[in-house]
Amino acid sequence: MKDQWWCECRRSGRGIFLALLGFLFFSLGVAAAPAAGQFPPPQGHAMGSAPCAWAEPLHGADNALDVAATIRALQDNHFNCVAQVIANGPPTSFEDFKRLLAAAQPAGISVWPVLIPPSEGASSLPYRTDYVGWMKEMAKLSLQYSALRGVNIDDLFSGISTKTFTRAYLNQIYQAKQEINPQLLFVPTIYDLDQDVADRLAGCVDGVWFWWVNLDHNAGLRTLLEDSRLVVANRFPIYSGIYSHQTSWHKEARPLPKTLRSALEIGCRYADGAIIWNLPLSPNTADNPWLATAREFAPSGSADLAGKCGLGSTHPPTEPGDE
Amino acid sequence: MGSAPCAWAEPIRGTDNALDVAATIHTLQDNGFDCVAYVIENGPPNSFADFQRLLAAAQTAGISVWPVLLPPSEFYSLPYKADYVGWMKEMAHLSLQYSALRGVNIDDFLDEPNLKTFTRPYFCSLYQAKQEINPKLLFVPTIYDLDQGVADHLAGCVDGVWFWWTNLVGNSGLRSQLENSRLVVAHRFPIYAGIYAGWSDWHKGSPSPIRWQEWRPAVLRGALNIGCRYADGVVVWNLPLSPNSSDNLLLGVARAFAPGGSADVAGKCGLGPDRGLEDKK
Repeated sequence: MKDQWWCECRRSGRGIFLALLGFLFFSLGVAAAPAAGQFPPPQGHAMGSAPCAWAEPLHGADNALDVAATIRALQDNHFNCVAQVIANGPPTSFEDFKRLLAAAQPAGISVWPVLIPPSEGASSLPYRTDYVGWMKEMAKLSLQYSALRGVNIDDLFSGISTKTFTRAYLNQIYQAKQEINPQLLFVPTIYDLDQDVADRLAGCVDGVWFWWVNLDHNAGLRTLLEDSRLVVANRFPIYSGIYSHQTSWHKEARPLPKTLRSALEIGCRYADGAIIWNLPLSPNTADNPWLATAREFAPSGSADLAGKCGLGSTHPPTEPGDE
Repeated sequence: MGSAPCAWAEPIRGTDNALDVAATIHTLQDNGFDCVAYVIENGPPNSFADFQRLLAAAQTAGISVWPVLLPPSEFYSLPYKADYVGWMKEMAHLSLQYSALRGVNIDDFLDEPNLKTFTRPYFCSLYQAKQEINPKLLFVPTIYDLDQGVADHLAGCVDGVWFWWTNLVGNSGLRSQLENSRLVVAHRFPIYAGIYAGWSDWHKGSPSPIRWQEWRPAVLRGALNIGCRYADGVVVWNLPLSPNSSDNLLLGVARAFAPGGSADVAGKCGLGPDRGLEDKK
């Protein structure tokens, strides 16, 4: 049965044929696209050489996303990837997203939209729970803007979202973008990654954001990443999701900067890349130790893995004390 | 570790600060626990003398006892301090007298400051020390990471591990951690899930009493449910045995997993999905 699942997503003759058509269309589409600025070809893995910044939105006039300030803050701190939630109004409306994307293209910054799942209200407008519609829209946009690197759906298997995101429906979402632009990636959010989850996703995703939800301590993070690679068995990349902000289930405090640093060290070393949730881009000063800590991992930063996040995740087993 | 979670209990103090052994045994029995872990430190209520009194009483009560020895990073357990071979011989001899002495734990075994002490040749000599006296006594140290390197490092010189989950506010990822680590261990030794009932020094949040009441029991219940299903057993750290009443929410949660409790896996903790427990993914 699991082999059949795999076939549904990867080995459909129709899918391959349409993917080839899509690729041709993509090539022509890029050539014919309106002047959207130059974007560097992808290097290394999909999330960039620094941790990708899922940033707290910077608000401008009328509560809209301050795109210029966002791009400037990302560039100032050497981030080359940003994740942006699409919700139901500014600063995270679809309009805000498109303005961000248009500005990110010439800036050489990859953009990842995050779609809201049913368990969080399915509030991404205008498509809401029509995730196939969303994926088609994004695939077309990605033909115009190659900075649109991939699409995330948050909390894929949490609560009631599990009923929506059946294997069959995930396959439809995946095929929707494959037929238009197979270079656009589908990389949903998960919190558990055992054999069953890996088998359920393989062939229908281009990777996962696998979140570490301990804001106090990183003992076990290395194990979680290393051991999950065994069950994934090179079928898709694993990107390490790291929190830099308190959340509904941990309201007491943000992680300490040293805890964030340690999580990023482990994530960059043992996963295929890292993404940081709710990174505060403002203020861009010493008063923002979380931003300063994340910046250490960007190119020219002070961390051992600065600019090399996720590039060295194939390694021999770690003996205790080797780190 | 028994069919219920093993209780690493907060000590109940009696006169002169000594361990109140009678109250401890009474509370364990009242709540259906058949296993207790007990730290040996340098004075009451955690002295070696306290431990020996607890062991003698536990033997009669049919409760397994696991001493926890402190590693160099946490000072020492008296009287043997850093002579862990000496400790293991002592415990092996005691276990011949008291079969309730089921195994020995060393805390924070592979934490950075302790690696100089617990080299593989040294901990294999600990293992051999007890094997030569009583191979039924188990050596099951505490770890926080269990990847291929750690599994290979330990295999052959331990009888299992207490593998601790350090997230006190959520359990996302715990199932993966336990299931996937079984793959790297590949049946070379059992994995027991370590679950925190109490806050630890590294948990910097200071939840309000209301949040504590609402949140912590639910998280503990979830962690025990996953641990009992996907590990070979469970040990619960800092479980408050007192008060033995409905006011003690954490004790109530743990009790639900003991034989006769209300949890689905009550009395079947560690039997696993491949050994008769329904997989509740």
